[in-house]
Formats: sequence, structure tokens, C-alpha cells
Amino acid sequence: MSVIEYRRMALDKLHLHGYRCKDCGVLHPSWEKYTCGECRSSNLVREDLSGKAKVTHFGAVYYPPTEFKGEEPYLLAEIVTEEGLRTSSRIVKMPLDALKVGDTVQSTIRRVKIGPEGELYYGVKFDKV
Amino acid sequence: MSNVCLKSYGIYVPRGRIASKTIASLYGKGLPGFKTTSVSELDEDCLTMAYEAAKNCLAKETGKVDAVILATTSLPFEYKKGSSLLAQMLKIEHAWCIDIGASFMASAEALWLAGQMIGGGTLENVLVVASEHSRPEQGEETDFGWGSGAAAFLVSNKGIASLNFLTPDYGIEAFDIWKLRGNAKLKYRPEMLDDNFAVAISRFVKGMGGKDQLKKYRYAAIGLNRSRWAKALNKAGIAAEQIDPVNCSTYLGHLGAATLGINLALAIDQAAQGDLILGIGYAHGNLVGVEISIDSAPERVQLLEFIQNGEERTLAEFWQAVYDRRMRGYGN
Amino acid sequence: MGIKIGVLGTGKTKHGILYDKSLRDLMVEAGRKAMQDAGLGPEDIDLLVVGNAASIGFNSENNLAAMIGDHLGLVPKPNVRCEAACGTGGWAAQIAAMGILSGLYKTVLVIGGEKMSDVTTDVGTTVIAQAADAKEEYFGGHTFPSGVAMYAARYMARFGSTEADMAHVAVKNHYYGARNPDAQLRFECTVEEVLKSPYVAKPLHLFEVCPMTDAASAVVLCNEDIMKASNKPQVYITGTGVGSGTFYNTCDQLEDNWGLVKGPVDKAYEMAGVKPSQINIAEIYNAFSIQEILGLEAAGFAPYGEGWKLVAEGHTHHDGRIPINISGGVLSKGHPLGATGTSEIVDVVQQLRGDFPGVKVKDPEFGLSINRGGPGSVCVCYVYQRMA
Repeated sequence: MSVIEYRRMALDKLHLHGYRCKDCGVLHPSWEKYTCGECRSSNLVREDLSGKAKVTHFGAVYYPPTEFKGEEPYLLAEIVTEEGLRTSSRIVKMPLDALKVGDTVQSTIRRVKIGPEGELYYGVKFDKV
Repeated sequence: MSNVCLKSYGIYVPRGRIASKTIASLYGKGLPGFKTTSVSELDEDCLTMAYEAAKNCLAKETGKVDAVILATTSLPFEYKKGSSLLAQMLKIEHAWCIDIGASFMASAEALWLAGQMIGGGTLENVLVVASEHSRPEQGEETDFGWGSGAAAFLVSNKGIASLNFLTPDYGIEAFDIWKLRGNAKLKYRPEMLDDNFAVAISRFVKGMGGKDQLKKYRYAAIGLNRSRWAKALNKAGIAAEQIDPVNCSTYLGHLGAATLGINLALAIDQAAQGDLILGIGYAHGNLVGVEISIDSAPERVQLLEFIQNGEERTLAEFWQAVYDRRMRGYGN
Repeated sequence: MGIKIGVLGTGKTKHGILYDKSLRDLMVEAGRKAMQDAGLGPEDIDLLVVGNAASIGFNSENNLAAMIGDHLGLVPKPNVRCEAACGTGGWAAQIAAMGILSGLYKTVLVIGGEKMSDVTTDVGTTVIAQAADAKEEYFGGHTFPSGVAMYAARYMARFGSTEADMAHVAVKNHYYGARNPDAQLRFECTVEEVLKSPYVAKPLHLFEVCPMTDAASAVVLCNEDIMKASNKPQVYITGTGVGSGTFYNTCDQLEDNWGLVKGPVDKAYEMAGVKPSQINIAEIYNAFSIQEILGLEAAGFAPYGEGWKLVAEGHTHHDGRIPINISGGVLSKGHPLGATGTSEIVDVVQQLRGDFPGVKVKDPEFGLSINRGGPGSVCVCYVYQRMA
């Protein structure tokens, strides 16, 4: 990460979105914007998502990378959005036993991390509805 | 009815609360006149809270926002805009983005500026967000009771309430709470803090035509913690029942520029149609006033009850949110 | 014994400081262009080889072949990443060649890419220096330019050449770089201007040193049967030679620098059955101008110690006896570490096909690319032939 990368990617990180293949209709996570994994088409279009999702699995990190030291333990959940996209995300701070499989969560914007040049990244985390 | 109105509003307050007695267990004395203050999480700051408040404010609005004004003295950046990033977070495009800071009056000034923009006739909707993020320095924990929170207002040419701005008074130039650039320490002089306020409020009352003129206001939302200046306010003719229902500081602490914003939101939430609300923005002996006339009372969302209830935080959690944050380089 | 590996398609991005393009943007672009040029889709590729020298240092990312394989729709085909410092691109093609010659794979997509502009210059310099012994020889502040400068100084002392003599290499390369629309540095200069440009590491001036660059370039290589059956210009790799050299500057670098190239290039000539005099276009690695001189001497184009004269007298221009670096060379194209070797292949092949976007060499039949890397530690050479 660097301030150069920040300019390229920071705004994309603010809002939950995916890429839909115009040829086969499958919705992919935000990073799959080059080639459809289903039909190999390159006809992908960005689609903003509502941010509403259900928790399918979750876990907690106890040994974090350097940039996240001090936040542990923190929750990471696999979710399925109401548009049908399967992705994963941080959950906002809550007691570890407060989250359950099947819970409905909603996206919000929180600080994610500070980069090596002091650039602040904001991004999507989910909170229980 | 003036042509500067409030269309909608919203607030955001972190869930966490630290009790005065918990603070006292470590420092020997508790918060200055507050029951609790609000405690944010490590991943929250002035901008994330501003975003949440604005989201609540704009939840039912569909019109284009023409300008975003962010009022705060605790932006994460000393050199970099916050309002434009906030606009990006809210997916607001092609809007003027303005940061107003420097003092706790910023929210009142932001509302006034929004009013001028609407009054000018070319803009239709201006989003004003006041957000403050707690940052006690070592030794200040029990002096100010800093808290965190945000309030957002959509100012427009039509809405639920009309805004009328009173004559501003910047006639006193004083140091009572200040910080020189390049110096980490916030300085303050309690005697000047108290005296400046007493002089300013007295000038305000005189300018209004006397204490009796203040009786018409159902609520007086003051942009600072009432407990410190309870006597001066009383003397000025502002009664406890005008202030107490709209005094967030008791539960949230000192919210800097966001105090007035949240107090105004509390007032609007509790007001009835036809009520008049006085909002007072104050700092360093300077005082600006805004009258809000409720044209159609909004549906009550129980903001006061919401503010009064939070999740209790331990001393360790408070320490992590405040000190550990700074030591780990998370910044403000 | 000759080999025949078809170059079915080529593709490259612009070279430059491309803040709005990420490493994966560049590699996907080059990979797609190469497949399109080859007339193939992802389903036709048997193997992906990705060449990248330092993505961990420049971009904080790793496992690139898997990433690019995903983004190009190549899953579940195998993929592998290769690293050999500046010789990465050449080696990536070598792995493809081995796969094709063994019969295990029929078509291989090779993508070299590097994105160097995300970090500041000092960080980039540090990352690059890790391609030498960062814990020993380079521990105290050596940089790659300073390492090369040492053997440039030895060369000049040994053969009596001056900075002005050496400057002709930069003049020629910048002349052609200015005419290459994909090059990073597109300005011409005179010998005087080269000498006036500040020292990077004495005796090397700024105009004699390549810039840091973002770019990717790709080729689709295939076996002879597939190449013959295609309607593409019949350009083949007909010979190759690879060798290693010293990892350390303070060994007898001069002989090694010449020797580093001589062994592999002779092997490539022998395999292809050609002599140096038959080569019509050569792309010789020249991140520093001295490397073009040493490379062309080792390739047999000039006697040892006299390479700079060949350049100064115009013999290496596009209409000269042996056109060298008509792309502008690494000096003006820029040096996107992992992509340099593959870009040499692309440039030679495009010259042989007649569709090079810059200055074209007239009717070339045989080509040569020399990709070296590290402090003098790796060299990969290819000989090419355009067949009827």
C-alpha cells in the first residue's frame, strides 16, 4: 500500500459493490472485474449493492497482521448479500458471542487501517441490524 | 416563515459509555458534571461518525445535495479536507465541500453558512454535519470529559422547521481554551472560561431585549456542557427545564462542535408544532444564536432515550479507545 | 540441433509511470493483448508463466501467477511464477520453452510485469538492491547503479575509453526511444547533454541509466505444429542459451560481465545454426549503457573493448550493419524488472513481423535478444528467425 495505490483504490473500498457478468448474469466480488469465472467473458459491469446481508460463517482473529495489532480479537464473517453475492468482511467490534450464523447485517463505513505512509483507509464493515 | 428551513436531521453516537465513577476509580475524581461520556471504537473517528449521522439524516431524502459542510475540530487530518471524503462516502457528487473548524462554534457557523447558500437561491439542499471525536490528552481525562458523536442537518428552502439567524457577537477576543499549532498541549484557564461566558451570555440577553424575551423558547440548545455554566445560564434567564431535556453532555460528555448539533436534534425531536427553539453556539466569548421555528413536528424517534442508554465500557476499554489508539499511531 | 518454438502472439502495455494502473491491470492488459494477437482464448492456453521480480517489495503482493490466472479466466490451467532479477522475463519464456519442447504443453502464455511507481524512489532503490547480496556486499549502502558504475570505470580504464565515448550509446538509444510510442522516455539528446546530465553513480550519467517503470509484456509461445497451422507470420525461436555469472561485484566482474553473455549467446547461435553476422535486429539489455557495449561485444558484433565505436560510428542504427536496441533499449523504454525480458522478445518479434510501432528495420530475417539480470548473475539469450 502507498499513497499512489490509495488514489487508485481508496474510493472503491468505500462502498460494497460487485461485478456482474453481462453475458451469463453471475455476480462476482468487487475484485473480479476482469474476467467472469463462470463463462470467461470480459463483459463485466460494476453493480453497487444494498449492503444488507446474512452471516453464513464467522471466526475471530487472535494473531493479527502488524496493521491490525491492538484490535484483536476481531470478527471476520462470510456473508451472502441480498443480491446473492458471497463475500467476506470485518464485523464491527462486538462481544464475540454476540454474532450468530443467520444474523442479518448491514454495511457501514469504518476505518480499516493506516498504510505505511500514514494514508488512512476507510472501508466497509458490517454491523448487526 | 423564512426561506431557510430544516428538511431532515439525524445523529450518531457510539454505543460505548464510560461512567464517571469508573473514571474516578482510577483518577480519584470523576467527569466534570457528567454521568457518562460516549466512547468510540478504534475504527471510528470524526468522519465515520459524520457519515453515520448523515446517512440517518438523508435516509428518506432523494433530492440532490448541493453542498456538504463539515463542522469539526477533530478531523483526522491537520492538512487535508474531510468534507470531500465525507461526500464520497455518501456518494454525493458535484457538490461544494467545505470544512469549518477552529472552535466549538463551528456547527452554528456551518448552519448559518448553509442558510446563506440556500438564501442565495441557487442551491436547494445543503448538508451540514457536526462531528467530534474525543481526544483527551494525558491529564485532561477529568477536566473536560470529551465524548464522541455527530449530528447532521439537511438545510433547504422548505422543510419541517424554519431557521432564523440572530445577530452574531464576536466582540470578545480572548484566550480561554486554546492550542498553538505545533504544540501538543491544549491550554485552558478556568477563570477566563467562566468569565468570558458570563459576559457573552449577558451581552446576548441584552441584545435580545432582556430575560423575558427568552421565555418564548421551549428549548435552549446550548453548544457546551451546561453543568459548568448552570449559574450563568440561570442568571441569564434560561431555565433548567429549557436546557436539561436537550443537554446531551450529561450522557455523552463534551462533544465540541457536535454538542450544539446533537442538542438541536434533541430539541427538534421533542418539540411540538409551533414551538420555538433557541440554539446557541459559543466559544471564547463569542456567541451566535439561531432560532428554529417548528412548522411541522417530525415523528419522534426517542433521541433522548437513545442517548441515555448505551453499553458500559470498562476502564481497560476506555484506555484502549483513547490512549492505545494514539500510541499505536491510529491518530485522532 | 535447432529448436522451433512459435511466437504466436505478442502484447504489451505502454511503459511509464502509470499511477492509475495496478500491477494486475498491467498484466491482464498485456496477457489479453497477446492472446488476442494469437487468436486464442483462455481455454486454448495450456500453461501460464508469470515473470515478476519484486512484487512483495513494490506492491505488497505475492502469488502472482495464481492471481493473474484467476483474472484472465485461466483457472484450472496450471500457472507458475518465475523470478531471476532483471532476467525474469527471459527466464519466464525459458520455462515456457522447456514445457513446449518437452511436449507437456502446446501453447504457453508468458507475461512479464512490474509496477515500480507505487513506492518512493528510495524504497524502490532498496528493493532493487535486494537483488544483490543485501546482507553482505550491499549492506553498507551500495546500489545497483554504484555496482555497475564500478565495472564501467574498470572498462574505461582498461580500454582507454572516455565518458564522451560511452555517451554515444545513450544518444542512440534515446533517439530511437523518442520514436517508440510505447517508450517511457521520449526525448533525444546529444553527447554534450548526456555529459551534462547529473551523475547517478560516477561515471554513469542520468541519461545513461534506465528509469523505474511500470509495464507488462506478454507472448504466446507454441509448438511448431500449431504455429504452422496458424495464419500468423512464421516467427520462431530457433536457439537459446542461458547461463549464470557472479552474484558479487567485487569478483572479476569485467570478464564475468563479458563472459556472462558470451557463453549463453554462443550457445544460442550454435543451436540456431547462425553466425553473428547474420543477425538483422538485436535487443540487448542495457539498463545501464555500459551493458549494451559489453553485450554487443560478447555477441560477436565488435572486438572486446571496441563496442562503443560500433555505436559511435552509426553501425548499430536501424539502417546500420547491426541494428541494436531500435526500441530505444531498456535505457529509454524503461526497466520494469520482470517485464524487460519479455518486452525484448516482443520487440524483436514485432520487428521480424514488420509491425513494430517505432522505427522499423528493413526486412529482418534473424533476430537476437539478450536479457541479463542481477549484479551479473543471469543471462538468457534467444535467437529468432522469420520463416516463409
